Order: sequence, then structure tokens, then C-alpha cells
Amino acid sequence: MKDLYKLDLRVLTVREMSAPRRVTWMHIVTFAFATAISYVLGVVSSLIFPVLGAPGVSALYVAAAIYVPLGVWMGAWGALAGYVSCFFLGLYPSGYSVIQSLIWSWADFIEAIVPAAIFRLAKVDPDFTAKRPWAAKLLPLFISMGTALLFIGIVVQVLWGAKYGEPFVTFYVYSVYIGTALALIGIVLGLIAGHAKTWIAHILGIIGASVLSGLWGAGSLTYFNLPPPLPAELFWPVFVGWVLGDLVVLSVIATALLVALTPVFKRTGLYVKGWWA
Amino acid sequence: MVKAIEAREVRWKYLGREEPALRGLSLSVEKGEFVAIMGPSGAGKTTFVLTLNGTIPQRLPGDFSGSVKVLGMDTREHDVTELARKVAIVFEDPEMQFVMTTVEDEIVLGLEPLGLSREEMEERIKWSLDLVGLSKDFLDRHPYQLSGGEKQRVAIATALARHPEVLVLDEPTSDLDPQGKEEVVSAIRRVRDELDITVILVEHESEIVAEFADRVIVLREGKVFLEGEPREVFAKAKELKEIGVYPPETAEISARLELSSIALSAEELAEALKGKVSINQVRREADDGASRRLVARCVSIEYVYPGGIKALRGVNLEVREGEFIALVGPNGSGKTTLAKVMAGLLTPTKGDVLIAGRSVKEYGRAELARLVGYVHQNPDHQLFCQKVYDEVAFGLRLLGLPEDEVKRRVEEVLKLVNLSGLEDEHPFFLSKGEKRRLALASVYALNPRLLIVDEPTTGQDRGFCDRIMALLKALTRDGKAVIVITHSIPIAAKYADRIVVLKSGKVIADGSPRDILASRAVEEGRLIIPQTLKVSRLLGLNGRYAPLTPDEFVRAVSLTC
Amino acid sequence: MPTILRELTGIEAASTRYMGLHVATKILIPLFLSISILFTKDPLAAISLIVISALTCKLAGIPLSAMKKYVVVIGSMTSFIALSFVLFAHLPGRVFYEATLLRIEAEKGVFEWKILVTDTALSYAATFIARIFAMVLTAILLLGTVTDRDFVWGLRSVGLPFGACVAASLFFRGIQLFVSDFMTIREAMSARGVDFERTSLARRFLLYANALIPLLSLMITRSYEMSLALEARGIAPSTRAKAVYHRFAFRRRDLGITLTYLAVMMAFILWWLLW
Repeated sequence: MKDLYKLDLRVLTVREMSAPRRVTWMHIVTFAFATAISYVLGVVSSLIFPVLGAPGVSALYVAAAIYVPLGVWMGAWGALAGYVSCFFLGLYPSGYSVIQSLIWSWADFIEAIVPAAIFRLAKVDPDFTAKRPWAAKLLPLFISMGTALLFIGIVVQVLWGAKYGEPFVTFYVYSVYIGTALALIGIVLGLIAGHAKTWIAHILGIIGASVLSGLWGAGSLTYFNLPPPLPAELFWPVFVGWVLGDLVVLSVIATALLVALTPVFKRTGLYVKGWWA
Repeated sequence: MVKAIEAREVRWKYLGREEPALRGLSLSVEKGEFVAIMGPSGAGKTTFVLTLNGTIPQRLPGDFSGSVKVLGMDTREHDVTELARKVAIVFEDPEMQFVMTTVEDEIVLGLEPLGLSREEMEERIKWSLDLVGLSKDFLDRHPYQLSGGEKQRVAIATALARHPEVLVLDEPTSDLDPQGKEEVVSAIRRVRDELDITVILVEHESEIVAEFADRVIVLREGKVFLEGEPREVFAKAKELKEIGVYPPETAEISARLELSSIALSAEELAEALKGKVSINQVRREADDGASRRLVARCVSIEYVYPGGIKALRGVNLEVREGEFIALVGPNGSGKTTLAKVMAGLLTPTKGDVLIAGRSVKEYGRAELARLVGYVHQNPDHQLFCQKVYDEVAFGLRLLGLPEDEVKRRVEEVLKLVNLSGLEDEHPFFLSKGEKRRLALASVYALNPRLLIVDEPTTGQDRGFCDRIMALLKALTRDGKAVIVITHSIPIAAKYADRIVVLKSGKVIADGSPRDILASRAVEEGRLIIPQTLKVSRLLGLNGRYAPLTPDEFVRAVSLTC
Repeated sequence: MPTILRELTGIEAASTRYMGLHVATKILIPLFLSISILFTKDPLAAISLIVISALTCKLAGIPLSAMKKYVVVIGSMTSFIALSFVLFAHLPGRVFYEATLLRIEAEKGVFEWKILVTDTALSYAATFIARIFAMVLTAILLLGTVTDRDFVWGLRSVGLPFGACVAASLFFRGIQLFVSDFMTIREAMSARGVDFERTSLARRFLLYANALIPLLSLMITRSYEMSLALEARGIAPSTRAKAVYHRFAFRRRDLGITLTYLAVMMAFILWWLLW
């Protein structure tokens, strides 16, 4: 069954190169429904796992596990689903104004577009088949913990280490070493889990998405917006909470969904090679 | 003269599938004809429908060859948007055809691209709603406010408002309850009587086909198997049943009694047999139910939904080992609510459910799942894993069973439901029937004493219904109690030991199929009785001893001349 | 016709006059008010904006009980904003309270984490908190007066293709569909022995994650069926057609009201510039 599936893919690739690609109703409807699911999950996550003081920001934003994989599967549609769902989340239940929401929502757009871009620019055809399932299961733990430690270490150094020196510098050094080691183990696990290019692209996507979306998200809530709903002093707590939460959700849940549903998206013809079709 | 439809040697293989769905299908339909297409599940009926507006091959990935011409237009050379102006299709699931938030907007969506004036659109909206029996009060209604029958009628109105030349109805009554079916059938009747368009009806229910079709085409494995006028086709009852297509019961009886003409309705058959036959009473089988052990007991169950809707009003019910109970009743009567209360998924507002002598509230979830298994109506709601094997193993692993025991049970259950060999397949890619069997297997693997299955027959062809019901019946021989929620009375009458009729949250009748079908519960519960029973009654045999199925009828009949 | 707020929370705007305004007016009013938030830098300006927003909600017939749905949000934002000004910022001014939480003798100096309550901090906190109330009111106003139908046909009236219009409609439909699906899936998991109540938070998290698989599978199946039905309608996502059926006449009262709120916004801008 697997061999035949692979054979079909190769035939499809040859045929697809000559057939024009267009946006169909399937793309539109999938996008609309994915946006709706992301919105519902976003509301639930921000109410159950809030980052207190920052409405709409969740310590475990499960909605990201929908639109980020959707970005991998369907390119810009995933990013648009992230944007629109976040916009409505901003209005209810977060209570942000229309303009604040319009600006803030780019965070989720960025979160989905980064992995989508990595896969497309590196021309990686996603294949999440786990040749070594144990490696695929351990990978999220190492990547999320390693990146989290590395991230926290950097934040501590930026905020206090440069200004005050020890003991913050020591903390920074240890977290960088340990975090990097854990992340490297995660990368090795990714290389042996299955299709190496896919897993490495995915790992980079998780890290890039979490950090960059966190920067915009926390920044637009505290530094730049019209106006920022929260004081600038809250940037670092919100930023750290955002990034750590995203790392967990994307490495655990998004990975599970990508493994489970990538074959489905491909065999149903929903998978988008380009950005829109 | 240009035909409405002309298909020549059409072959189509979906991307990722091993076998083609259409294998050289050739057929034609004249303008103004009402043609019915029948066939078992997987025969290629819906696939063929999708070729009529060019969706295949223009929108779906796969391999296509042959030609399909609709009103002279080749579907490979004209875009779907152009073809769809001539061909309107109404699909099986009414829920999935609503994209807008009101009925009015739904119809307008298809009219605005036609460049009509506002007045013309208003006129068409009014006309099309009237044709399907809906008033203009429906214009502002939301989809979730409509019943299944109303939704499907709106879908037909939406299609007709565009004034198509060909109307295709793809199993329009499959997902509906009996009342919804009747509403849609009335709408189709008006379409046939008042409009001069070509209609293609894909349908499992042969009684509906018999009423409307000028011609019947039976598909099998992607090709035409039989074709002809209804009487001609239904005369071949044996061949049809072998491929999973069931002719009207009256046609089957006519064929088996070798009557000179095949009767398509109960009235026709009764007229043909009047004075020529005597029907012997069917012997009742002794009922030994009361001696079996009690598995579940509902005591004065009441349930009120959060919005204040009282779904159950004092239901008392006993279920014993080895019983096969069909739970029937109109939509909104409380069948699914009762089933969920019994499975411990809903807590009754008043009353209690006793499972194996203990209140359901005393059990933990895992413990209760081992006693009462509940299979949802839509299998897609309960398939969580990536492999068939893992799906069945899910519940067993939750119980903490060792992996070799899990393996043993999974293999046993997969064999029982005829899914062996598909252990590594992704559940998403299973057929509808396979998914249902998998959903059943995943619950059955926990070895419950009581199995509740919610509407396994809705939307399925008769062949599948028989297979799934036979499977469930076999489980009762192992001492399991089975409750099936169903709208299909002929199926219930054939397999169930008991029929429980619910109406407005109350049990209005509870007894053997014969007792129930001979009682007032039929009118009260709006049950549709089998054609065979209708014939028996028209021939003067009423009461509990009338034949219920064609087999019983043929065995019970003696020709007097 | 249910508004977005009604669909989400059950709260509905009661004023038919306000609801009869052009959809552009109903969108521009909260938009002007939300731009005004940008120019509120002192408590008095913020309170004035709150009053105007609350009055507008009243005119629209939105019960102020709608604020109840935002209580948790307001409460958490309010307390955290107050905390941020006293915990993370050291603003000059008259000191009301000071306490050191953490003190570390670092290599290059002393790291101190203090609570510092000053009059400036309280003033800033008050402004931020007042702005939150104004934000919430403008959000309620928008959601409570714009129906999903307004939204959808509004997109059509500005000439966007059918793809955008249908996507907007399906987003609203999708919310209802998937809430119901999620509950059914949760129920199906319970039927297989999953006990959500007696499970650890971590395990519950993973189980809910498991529930996403059938949710997305259903999404794909529904998308497939619905897209076939849409293809059969004879419209493509890129189809554009003049929105003839629904007439959105921009009347004099729409113009009057829009200009009034534009003037309110300009007043706040002037206030900000001059004071």
C-alpha cells in the first residue's frame, strides 16, 4: 500500500508540472473552516490557559496547532487563517479594538508563514512518515526544552546579564550550553526520525515561528499598536510566555497533526505546492 | 436530436486509489426523461454524477478517459461554471449544501451571477420555494433552524431557481428521516408534474424509483449492469439482490410468484392478487425474553436540555441479554438522548439507569465503557488514530491491557467486522461502510454487555444495512444485548426481537415487531410500514400474523387459481 | 438576524433604528471610537471616551450586561496593568509605598526587584485601565451591531469576488459546526473510556490534542463535499457579479451619524494635540 502511494505521488508530480494550478472552492472552504476551528480553539485556549494580563495570549495556544500545519499543507491559506482567527479573537473575548486587532493579528500570520516559507523556499516536499516512531515522539521534548532553555538564557542575558554581570552571566552560559545540547539532540532525532529534510525544516519552522510571532505579538500588545493595549513594561513577560507556549504547542500538537494528516492532505489533492494553489 | 446526456466509455480513477471508479461506462438520457440510477455503494453513481457538470475531470485529481456530453457540450471543453448553468446537482447531505446564513441568501448566491434584475430574482425565489412547498416565511431562516427535509427542499429550490435544463438529484432522501423523505418526495413529484426538464435521480430506495422513473439504469463496478423500464429491471429481482440492489418488495414478490406483470406498488400487487390467492397466517415464534438476565434498566428517566427542552419524560425500559432492540420514532422523539443517558454520556435530570444492577453514576468512565458501548451515528466523530489497528486498540490501551492481549483482541474483532488486512490503513481513506464497521469494532473490542448503535442504516444502501444488522444480530447470539436506533422499519422488522417506539420523550409502544406493526403505534409514531405488510392488509390479512417480508409472504401465499 | 455577538455570547442589540443603519456606518462608528483610543493619554480623556462609547451602546440597544462577558478579561488586564506599573516600572513621583522583593549582589552592581507605588504610576495605570474599558465597549459595539449577513453582503457590495463572500459566511457557519463537532468528539472519547474529569492536566492536554485529528478529518470531508456543492452552483471563487439583490442605500441619517462620530474622533485628536 505504501509503495503504491509513493508511486502515485511520483506520477502526480510529473502530471502536476504540466497542469495549471488554480484556487478552487476546496481551498476556500478548507480555509474558512480552518479559520473557524482556529478561532474556537483560540477562545478556549485563552480562557483555559491564559497569560494573565494579556487577553488573547495563551500559555498553550492550541489554535496554533491548526493554522501552522495548515501553512505547511496549504501555504498562505494557513497564514490567512491565523490572521483572521486572531483578528476575531482580539474582538471577542479579548476586547481589543478593531485597529488593535488588525495590527496584533499579524503575529499569527507570521507564525504560520514562517514554516510555510521554509518548506517552500527550501523546496522540501513534506513527508512526515516516521521511520523511527520513538525518535518522532522524543523529538518534541528535546526541541521544546532545548529551545526554551536557550531562549530564557538569552532573555536573562539581554535584560540583566549585560548590565549586572554575575550571577546572570553564569545562568546564561549554562542555559545556552544545556539548551543547545538538548536542541542538538532534538535535531539528531529529527535526522533519524524519517525524511531528514522534512524534520529539519519542521524544527526550524517551530523555532522561527515561535520567536518571530512572539516578537510581533508581544510587541504589538505593549510597544507598537494604535495604541498598545498594555504597558511597555509587560513586553518581556508576555514575550517569554508567548514563545514558551508556542514551542510546546508546535512541537507536541502540531507535530502530531502533521504526522497524522499530511498523507490525507496529499491524497485528497488539498496539498498546495505553491502559496495559494 | 441532441440528447440530454451522452456518456461514452467513461473511465475514471481517483488519485491515490488502486481501482478505477468508472470502467468504460456508456449511457444516454433523452431530453425530458426521468431516469433513475441505482447501484450498490461503490458502484460509481456519485462519481458519474460529478462527470455531468465537469467537476470530473476538471476539478478533481485523477485519470480520465472517454467522453461525456451534456446537451451537446463536451465536459472537457466547457468550464464547470458554464456547464453548471445547464446542469444543477442536489447532493445527499443537506447540511453541506448550505453556505450562506439564510435561505434567501442561499438562493440569491446562485442567481446574481446570471445577471438578472432584482425583480426577476424575487420572482424566481418565490416560484422555486413554492414548487418545493415552502412559504416565503422561510426566507429569513437559518440553516440550523431547518429540519433535514426542509434543508433538502431548499437545496432543490436553489437548484431550480437557476432554471437548469437537467436536474440531478444524488440520493436526496438518504440522510433524512421518514418525514423528511416524504417532504422531498412530494417536492420531486411536483417537479416531475409541473416542469419540462430532464431529471436524473440517484437513489437506493426502489419504491421512490418505481414511482418516478421512466427508465432505470443499474450500475455495478463502474459500468452499466442493467437498463430498462422499471418493470423490466425490477423483474430481475434475484440478479439485483446479488449485487446489493433491492427492488421494491412488491416487485420481488411479483417475480417470485411469477405473476404476468411486475407490480410496483402495494395497491397494484393487491389488485393483481385479489381473489387469486389465500394467505396463511405466519406463525409467531415463542418469546423467551423474560427468562434472560437483565443487563440494563431505565427507571423513570427524565432529561431536560440546558435550553429547557424536555427530551425524555419518564422513560422506563428493560434490556436483557441476547436481545436485539430497535429504537424507533420520529426526529426529536428522544431516541439519541435515551441512548446517551443509558451509556452514561448524559446524566438524567430525574430517574436512574441501572447497569448490571448498579446505578450508572457509580461507575467510572473506563469501567462503564466495558459494560455499555455506544457507537455514534457519524463514524468520523470517533476515529482518532492514524491506523485501523491503533483505532481498535485505543480503548484497550486505555484500560492498561498488555500489548499481546491488545493484539489478540484487535485481530479477533477486525476479523469479525471483516476489516482484516486493513490494519495499517489510515481510517480517513476507508469507505463509508468500512468506517462504520471500524467505529463498531473500536467500541466492541471493549467487550461491552450492551451495545448501542446510533443510526447505522441512515444513508446506507440496503445491502450494507443487511450486512451490518446481520453482524449485530450475530453478536446477540453471544449473549450481548444490542440496541439499534433506526428509521428503517423493514430492517427493524427483519432483525429486531423487539421494537421500542418513542414519541415526544415517552415510550408509546414496546413489543415484538409484529405486535408493534399491528398496533396504533404505527400512526402515532409515524412509522412507515413495509410494503409487504401493506399488501397483506389490502388483501384483508390484518393483525399480528400478517407477513412482514417478501420471504414470509411468498412462503405464506397459496395460489387459488 | 443574529449579530456576531449574539452568535458568540447570546447578547443582542435591541434597537431596530440603529440596526437599520448602513453597514458602513455600523462599522465606521466603532472604528472612529477605536482610533480615538489612540489619542487618550490622560484619565479624563479616557473616561470621556468610555461615556461616549457606553452611550452609543445604549443607543444601539446593547445591554451593558454584555460587559459581563468581558469581566474576566477586564479583571485580569486591570490587575496586571496595575502590577506592571508597580513591579516592572520605576516611575518618578510621590512615593506611596515601596518594598524590595528580591535583591542580588551582582558582579557589576546590585539587582533589585521592587514594588514601587507612586502617583505617576497610579495615574498611568488609571489611564490604561480606562482605555481598556473603552476598547471593550467599542469591540462590543462592533460585534453587537454587525450581523454576519452584513459582513458577508458588505464584502459583496464593495466588489469582492464570491470566494471572499462565501469564505466569510462559512467562517460563521463553521464556528457553530465545529463547536458541536468538538462536543460530539469529546463524547465519543468518553464512550471509549476516556475520563476527562479524573485525568491530569497534562494527560487532558494530550487527549484534547488527540481530538483534533477527527476534527480536522471532518473538516476535510466537509470541505470536499461543500466544494462539490459550490462547483455545482456554477460560480467560481473568482466570479464577480454586481450585488443587485441586497440594496444598501447610504441615507442622510447614515451620513449625519457618520459625520458626528468623525467629529468626535477629531475632538479627541484636538484634545491630545492641545493639552
